Amino acid sequence: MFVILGRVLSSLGVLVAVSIVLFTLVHAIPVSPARVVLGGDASEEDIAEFERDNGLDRPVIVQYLSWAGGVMKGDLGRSLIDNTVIAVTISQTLPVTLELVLWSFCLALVIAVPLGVLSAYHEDRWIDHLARVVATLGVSIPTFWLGLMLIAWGAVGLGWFPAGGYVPWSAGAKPHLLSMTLPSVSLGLYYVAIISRMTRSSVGDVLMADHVRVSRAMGLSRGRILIYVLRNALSPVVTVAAMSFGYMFGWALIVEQVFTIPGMSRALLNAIFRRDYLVIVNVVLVITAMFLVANLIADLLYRWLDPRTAR
Amino acid sequence: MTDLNRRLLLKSAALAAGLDLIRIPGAFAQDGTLNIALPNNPSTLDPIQTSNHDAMAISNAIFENLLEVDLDGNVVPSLAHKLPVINDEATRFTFDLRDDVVFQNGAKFTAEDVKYSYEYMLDPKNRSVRRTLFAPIKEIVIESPTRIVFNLSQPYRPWLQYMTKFMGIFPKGSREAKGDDAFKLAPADLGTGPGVFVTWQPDSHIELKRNPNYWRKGVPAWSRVMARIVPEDATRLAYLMTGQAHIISSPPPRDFERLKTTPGIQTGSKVAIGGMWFMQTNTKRAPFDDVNFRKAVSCAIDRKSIAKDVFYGLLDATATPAPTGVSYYNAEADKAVGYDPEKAKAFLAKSKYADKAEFELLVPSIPYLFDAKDGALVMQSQLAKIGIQMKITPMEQPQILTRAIAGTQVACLLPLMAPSDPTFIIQICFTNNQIMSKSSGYTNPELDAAIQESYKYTDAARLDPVLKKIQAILVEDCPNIFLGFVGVANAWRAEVKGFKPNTGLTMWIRDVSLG
Amino acid sequence: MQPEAAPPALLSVRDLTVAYGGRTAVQAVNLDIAPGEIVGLTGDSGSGKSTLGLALLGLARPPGRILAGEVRLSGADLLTLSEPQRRSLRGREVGLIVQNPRASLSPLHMIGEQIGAVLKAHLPLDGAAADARAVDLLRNLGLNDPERRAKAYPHEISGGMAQRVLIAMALGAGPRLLVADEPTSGLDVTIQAQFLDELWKTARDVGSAVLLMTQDLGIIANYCDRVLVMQDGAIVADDVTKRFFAAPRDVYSRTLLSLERVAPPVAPGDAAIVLEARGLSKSFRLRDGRKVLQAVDHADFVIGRGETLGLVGESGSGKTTVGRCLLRLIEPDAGEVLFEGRDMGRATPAELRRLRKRIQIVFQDPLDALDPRWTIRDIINEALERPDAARVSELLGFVGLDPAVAKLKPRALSAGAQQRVSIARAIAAEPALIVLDEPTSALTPLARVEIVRLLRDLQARLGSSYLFISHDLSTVEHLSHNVAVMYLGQIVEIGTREQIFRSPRHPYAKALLAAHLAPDPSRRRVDRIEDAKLAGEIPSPIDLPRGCYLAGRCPEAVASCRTQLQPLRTLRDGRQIRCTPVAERDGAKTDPVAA
Repeated sequence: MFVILGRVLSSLGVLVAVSIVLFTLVHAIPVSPARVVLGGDASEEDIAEFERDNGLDRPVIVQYLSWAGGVMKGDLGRSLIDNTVIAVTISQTLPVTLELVLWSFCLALVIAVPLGVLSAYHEDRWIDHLARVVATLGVSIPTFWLGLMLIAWGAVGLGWFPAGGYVPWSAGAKPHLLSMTLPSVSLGLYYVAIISRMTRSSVGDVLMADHVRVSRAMGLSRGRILIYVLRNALSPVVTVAAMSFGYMFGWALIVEQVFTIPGMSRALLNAIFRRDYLVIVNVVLVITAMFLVANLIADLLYRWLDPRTAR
Repeated sequence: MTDLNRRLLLKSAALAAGLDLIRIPGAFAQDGTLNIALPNNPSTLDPIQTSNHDAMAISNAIFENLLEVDLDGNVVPSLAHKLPVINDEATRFTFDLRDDVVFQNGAKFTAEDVKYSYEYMLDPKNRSVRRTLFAPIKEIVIESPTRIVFNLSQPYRPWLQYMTKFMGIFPKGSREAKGDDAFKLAPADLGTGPGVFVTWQPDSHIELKRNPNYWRKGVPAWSRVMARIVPEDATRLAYLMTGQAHIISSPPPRDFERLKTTPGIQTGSKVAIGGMWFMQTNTKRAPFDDVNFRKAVSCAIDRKSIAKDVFYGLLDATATPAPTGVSYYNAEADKAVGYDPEKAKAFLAKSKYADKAEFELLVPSIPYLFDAKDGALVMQSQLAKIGIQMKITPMEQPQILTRAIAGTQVACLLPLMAPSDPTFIIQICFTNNQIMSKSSGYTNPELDAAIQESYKYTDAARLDPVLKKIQAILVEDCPNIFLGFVGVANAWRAEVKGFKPNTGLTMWIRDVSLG
Repeated sequence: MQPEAAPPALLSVRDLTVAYGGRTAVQAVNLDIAPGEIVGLTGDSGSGKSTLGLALLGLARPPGRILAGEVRLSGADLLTLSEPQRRSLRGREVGLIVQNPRASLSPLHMIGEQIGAVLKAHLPLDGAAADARAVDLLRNLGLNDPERRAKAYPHEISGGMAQRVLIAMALGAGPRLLVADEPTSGLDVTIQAQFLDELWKTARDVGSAVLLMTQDLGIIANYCDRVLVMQDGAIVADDVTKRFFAAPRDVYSRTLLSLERVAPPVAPGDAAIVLEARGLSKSFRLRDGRKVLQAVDHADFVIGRGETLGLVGESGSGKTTVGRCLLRLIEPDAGEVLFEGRDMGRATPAELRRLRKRIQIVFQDPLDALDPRWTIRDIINEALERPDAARVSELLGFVGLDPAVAKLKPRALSAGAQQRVSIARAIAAEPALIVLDEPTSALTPLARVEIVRLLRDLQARLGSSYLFISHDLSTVEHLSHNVAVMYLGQIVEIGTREQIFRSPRHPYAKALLAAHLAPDPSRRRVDRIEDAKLAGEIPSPIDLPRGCYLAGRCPEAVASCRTQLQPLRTLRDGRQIRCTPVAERDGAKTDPVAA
């Protein structure tokens, strides 16, 4: 219990550290957001006035502290560019991205784990070769290009799916799920590759372990041995899966862009283009928090999977 | 790579069309919704703050002004029922207003609203981004509920053009009642236009509904407009192919030719008078401090081949700051510094940089409205042929802009999307104390006088000779390398009627109907 | 037992051939095992024993494949059966035990569940009945609180217990043949002996035959009825145990047994003292910062010139720490080390550097100790005053290596040759004392014999003293003049080789030596009356009891043992012993140095 508490505390520490680094880096971007807000033909005086009004002329440390103070009170601040409340932006976009990532993640797991297990069991047979082809494609096809191909095939060619856009649940489950299918596939395929390869090598290692040999020698059934193998092979898979989950938030940026999904990653991209300091910092922090939560969950899973670490 | 994507997309679309798979979009059209796809998410819908052209497609449907620009680029009456009466000095503009206009909130439109709107915009503390464009307005006088007079501090023709894009009329007292944020984010019931704001989901879509009390009878024909924000070129194209969008803006130039022949798809393009593309060279910095060197560069660039090979016809190539199709186009000026390799070599030989002919060009790394990179590459090879080495440095657009404004660039290639007035860019780049003055470092009293003179005239007969003279001056001194005017292109589905690209870079949706 | 007159074979193997890719690992092997027979299978590393063992169950480690032959188990050829049929025979007819018992259990499943799974696979039991049966088996193995143990994970039980669990699993369904592949490698001698006793007894009780594969001829001499020797995938010798040890017919076995026939080294007459340790102590603070591990506890010993002191003990006894403290690789907490009369603890850094040249160390794993990027010449040159090619050649010659290897890098050499390089480097500076820290443990039996010979030769030629640290009693016996036995950081008995090996007096030394399996079928452990057996296992060296550390396990313990520290006392025959009851029976004088 204390260990978990410790992990939570250290995760919070990481968040604070990330926020400081981010804040400093973002403020090192050479072009002021004033230029973006006021347009190319604003005068130097206008820009100085804007910066003064928005407190951008204060030292970075002061800006950081005032922002951090707001965060403590649950106020993430407002966008410099369009003055929207950042907490609202995040609360609107996070569920979309989270859902996209979750679908992709489930899809990746559901395909990757059985594929990895099968190819480890049938090393150098057709299923293993197939898995290798899938993995090679998965890691080498750029997500961006895959998205476009899926649109060309599934939307323009077959007409089964919309070419993009996000249909909310409220518009019906079927249109919603149809709108999430292609994005989830294009985000998930890379991780099918990564996780299936990891599963294959992990299961392969366990299959070589003494206890599996002994279990065979004891005449245990394949199913029983599979139970032993899976549980023993899962730890590294959990690690990779947790990291994948975190990385997906980053890659969602491209998928949301290609499929025109109003998620958080897209909000981040816009904020970057617009030098919207506070939005950048807050969104990246939320993504970092997701990453940390995924790792925390992975940690708990470990403890459950592996009694040796449960101390 | 992206080239391949789109080609594949088009190919599969062609295949689908052959199999009758391009659906006449039942679900999208039946309820009378017009779907359009725009590349950029607006930052605001406030008519006095808009700078993004995509946003104007929406804000111009909500807000209207005294005048508007028709699809052929002519200024025509809108809330004024005829063009203004202008005194000889062009300092007094008298507008007669329509009597049959009501705002979306039901209030009747009068001269009070006009005065209120302009004065609000002109008040520096309200920080309109386009306030400077209207700065010469000295005084606004209401003569009657349907007659209003604008007194200007100096002759100033261009503001009539500017009001068609950068300003809109809203009800008296509405700013105090609703606040600026409402104008920015949810301007419901604040305009007189055909579309009433319903909702805006940032980065996703903006929804308008038909204004049932619109003063033009019979329009709009649609019941709703759904404007989706689709930044990815290929995806936007896919939206068009699948019928998720009826009209898209900015189809990728290289696909434009092919789109023209795609069944079920229509295309159109028009030169944007405000979309001037030129190399912003700094006459205060070597090697562009030598007019012969500038002319050598200008004559070395084959603009027509760039227009054809790189922009697939979506560029009106000209070496003078006027589109080739307008009445004030100065063909002689164009010829003087247009493509001629022999002349270029001669100019270069005369210049003091004949031995060390090299410079650095800043090019936006992420395209804005227009991808300049490929064009820069072609120029690089053309310049190399006459012995000028051009180094291309990609840089983010805002950073280039900052440098250009500070005058620290040697040369940069940044499309400036301006109001459709022929002197706007010339004024901000080549006269004193303007935003882009330092980017050229060039001024000329003769030019200043000509610009001021042009402000007096609103009729082509008197205006065109002055504009031609301005071109002659600029070609003689060649402060910048003019390349051409950007074409605005749209693609739409066959069932869309009444749509044409306009010269103002925006999408004009009022008169569109779905057949 | 007369193999010729044996009843029909339980296992009969004919022309069995197994290959990994193009390399044949088992070459046309024939063998028979009679019911109830315990057969030893020995051979050097890589001779194909393990591959053969697996092939007997119709298994092969990928990418290996069984190419030809038959494995008849009670008449039926296992290799012609379908996979499900084979599976039902495994565990039910033939069981397998491999080395490293803990790795043989799935680390993430409870042991009761794992035993139950095997039972369910072969016996008509449902889940609950299998679980109950598993608990019964654990109880029969002498585990207290078997219900709780059944819910333990492998990491929560000791290695010894894991072995018993494995035996329970292997024998649970009552197979008539058990294949045990190096079942005790890596175990301490007392646990090894316990395990083999248990295996032997259980097999005899249920009448199972056992094929016991091991490199340790001591195990074979003590437990097997018959011996097979494997070399390069083929069986080169097959004989009854007694006859085998009397006159081994194959070269491999003869070489291994050759040491037994050479007289142990004679102690030099003048034993000028080279090194003396007094009250040497070292404890480590554990990572949690509170608990203290007492690694070495007041160790006293002397090493004479040209003499070897063997330091024996089981894992955790502190013997390695003693070696490192002598060189001050680890700084001792207390006590002094007098080297050639000088106190190492008070030596200035410059003196210490000079002294270090006079004391060298050879580590267990030569690859860890040799920089893999350097050539052998560089490695030895580094130990010399200045580079000297002739001296390098001479040193390589001393350790029996071709001087041509000087230009190679360590990885190009076999483990035995690497260890020779380590030794060459150690003798380069002509040290007075070499600390040999388990130098033979990582080697194959053949290489081990060679190194022991080399060390003896070098000592005879150079007159160096050795501190020989090992858990391998046979090797210690072959090399040492004097022997110290350590238990939980303390030296519990120290005396001459004959004293310790022939008649140990300390109860722990007695137990340890009783567990020693000499490769001599006339001294079989199973024939001896078990008088030296200790209860339980070695306690953790953290939180040691107040009195004698052995008191809890000792059959001779009296009440005072539990409360009083035991001083090291000298007996009348000159040996020293840390056991007051034994010393008093001997009438020993009170030792001047009290612990």
